[in-house]
Order: sequence, then C-alpha cells, then structure tokens
Amino acid sequence: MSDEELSAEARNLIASVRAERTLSPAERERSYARIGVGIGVAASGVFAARSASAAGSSGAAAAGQSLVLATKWWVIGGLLVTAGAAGLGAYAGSRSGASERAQSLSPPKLEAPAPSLLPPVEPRMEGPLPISTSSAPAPIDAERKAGKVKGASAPVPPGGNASPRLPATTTSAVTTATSAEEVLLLHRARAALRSNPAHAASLARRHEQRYPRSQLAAEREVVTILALCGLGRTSDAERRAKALASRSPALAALEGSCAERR
Amino acid sequence: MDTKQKLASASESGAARSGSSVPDFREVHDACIDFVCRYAIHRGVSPVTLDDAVQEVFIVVHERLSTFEGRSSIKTFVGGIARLVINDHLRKRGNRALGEPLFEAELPPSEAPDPAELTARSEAARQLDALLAKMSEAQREVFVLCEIEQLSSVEVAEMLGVNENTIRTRLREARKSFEAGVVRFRARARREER
Repeated sequence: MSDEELSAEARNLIASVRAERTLSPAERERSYARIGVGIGVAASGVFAARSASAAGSSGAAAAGQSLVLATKWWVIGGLLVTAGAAGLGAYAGSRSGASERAQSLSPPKLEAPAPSLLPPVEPRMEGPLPISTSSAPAPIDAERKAGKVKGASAPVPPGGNASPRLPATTTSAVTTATSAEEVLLLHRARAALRSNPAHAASLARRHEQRYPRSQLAAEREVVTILALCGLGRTSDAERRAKALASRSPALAALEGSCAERR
Repeated sequence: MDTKQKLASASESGAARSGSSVPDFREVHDACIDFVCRYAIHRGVSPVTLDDAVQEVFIVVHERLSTFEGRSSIKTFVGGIARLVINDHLRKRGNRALGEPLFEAELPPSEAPDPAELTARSEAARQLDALLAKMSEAQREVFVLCEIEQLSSVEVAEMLGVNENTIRTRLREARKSFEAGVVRFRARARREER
C-alpha cells in the first residue's frame, strides 16, 4: 500500500457505507418534495406537478392545491415541533418530555405528504433558549448581503427566469393566496427561532406587513409568540397566546411554551 | 444537449459550458442529494437536524443555480454551497452530533432491510464514523470529499479554496490515519473471534 491509495479493505469499508448511505427512490422523492416546500414554489406548480406525478395523483391543479395544504401543515408541523422543543426545553428542561410532547403534536397525514428523510424531528433543546437582543442575520444571510452569495433574496425557478423579487415592504400589499415568498419568509422566521429569536420576530413582523391577510397568519403568530418566549417577554407572549386561542385552533402548537404554562 | 449531458460534460471536463441555460433543479437535486446527505453526515451533522441542513443547502442551491456557468462540475458547485451552509449549521448549538452513532435513524420500517443485513451494515458505518472521528477537521473534510465522494484533488481544492498541494498533504495524512484504524479494527475482530 502506498500513501497515494487506500488498501482494498479500506476501500471496501467505504463502498459499503457509501451504499448504505444512499437514498432510496422513495426517500429521494420525499427529499425533493420537502425541499420544494421549503423553497416555497409549491404555489407556482413547479414542485406540485412533480409531486403529483410521484404520488400518482391526477391533475396539476389538484396537486397544487394539496401541496399548498401540505405546505401549510408542514409549517404548522415545524412550528409544533419547535413549540415543544422551545417551550419545554426552556422551562422544563426535560428532553424526553419535550420529545413526547412534540411527537404527540405531529400534523395529520395528508394526500401530499409533508416529507422527511428521517423520522420526526426530536427536540434537542436541553437548556433555555439563547436570549439575544441582536437582530444580526445568520452568517449565510450576512454573506448574501455582502454579495458573496449571489442571487440572494428570492428563489429563482429552475427554468432560469428570475422570479419576482420580494416586494418592497408596504402595508398596502394585501394578499390572501399563499405565495412562494411568504412561505419562505415564514420558514426563515421559524428557522431563526432558536438561534436568534429577535431576528425571528423581525421576520414575522415583516411577514405581517407584507401579507396582512395571509392564510398563514396563525402560524406567523405562533412564530411571534415563540420568539417573544425566547426573548423572555413572557407576559407579551401570554397576552398574544390568549388572543390567538380565541380565534385559532393552532393554539395547540403553544402547548408547553412559556405563554401556555401559567 | 440536455441537462444531464451538460452536467456530465461539465463534470468530466470542468470546461466552461457554451450554452447559458440553467440546469434543471430536479436533476441537480437527484444528482447531488446523496452527496449532500453523506457530506453532511460525515461532517458531523446530527441525524436529528439532517433534514433541515440538507433542505437549507438546496434552498441556497436553488437560489444560486442561475449563476452556475459550468466552469466547474455541478458537484463542486453544490459542494461549495453545502460547505458554507453546513459550516453555518454546525456553528449553531445543538446541531452537531456529539459522539452519537451517525445515521442511526436509518430507513422507515417498511423499507428496512432484514435485521442481519442491517446489523452488518451498521457495524461498517460505525467503523467508518469512528475512523473519521480520529481525524482533524481539515483532514476529515478532504478525506470525505476525495475518498468517499470521489472528487478529484483539483475539485476539492477549488471547493475548499486552498492549494492543491495542501489537499494532497491532508489526504495523505488522513489515509494514514484511516488505514491505521482499519488495522486496529481488524485486530480487534480477530481477538474477539478467538
């Protein structure tokens, strides 16, 4: 054996694990659908049509509709898991309890699955949420702003035509349809909950300004409430949770959060 | 020339593509999803957060795909993005696998292989992960890209933004470490057989 190559035994080991860690066609489909939901182009039909084909569903319109539903449940599902993790992690510090709670809050199965490469996400918070007053973006966002990552703010469809840029912030932008941009914005807000709740709250506020009549308003409010929890603003979180409870069944997602605890 | 051919051509030659059309995202996904998943796992992303990390990688790939000019392989292009995203992901508390066996979540029950096969394969995975864990971060990254993902040293140098000689040096050290580990595992297996 030379330094320039591995022994046959080492190569066999690598080949064996490489084969093991290769996705099956079904996992591949789930991955693609999940990424499509994350990108938020379900509403454009690009991913909807492909998912319809994979699921054996007929009609792009029907598929689009079901995937929009899946999108919504995906967001809710993510929020539910985050709710279990953030709330119980922050106050009970019980990993197993949080896990059970989060599992019990899984979204219902729909015709178009909210896919996952792996089993349901288990909450991993073991301590309190980091309390940050900074709204500084994550490093990747910073790189986008610095121009290191080009084509930053809006997804570009695979066809190559630039999708419309995110509209300038305006309270006059009123929409009731779930658009790609708003799903993505909410996804980013949710993703920032643990690492930077101030940024998550800021993104949720931006979402509210752009999409005041969004179908995802309840989900947005859940993000806001959890961000307030993360910032230690328990009374504000509690007040908003009560208001949300009166108008939305999405309150279930707040079980175990600081707002629901009293 | 369809997208697959373009990707293959760019991958093989690394030459600039004459056309300006953007690769199809689905085909890029299918061509690179295994690579991204494995890369994330071998870099130490926890199975719990693997979905999120992979999704985030492809969201950025989707955003940047129109900037792909074919001067490098699509795998290098996606790998460069994956590296940035996963570095960022690992910096966040709780996202790094803390010594737990990687990829233990395996397949859903309906698709799981028979237990004997699963045990054998998982043992191989455990060995590989243990051997990777013995390496420095820099060595591990080069080893994963060159030996597991079969990228050339030129591609890895481009992806990591370092000199090709540096890549070769790291790879040489990583191979020594890996081979030594394989010998240790073999010796242990023999002892256990007696």
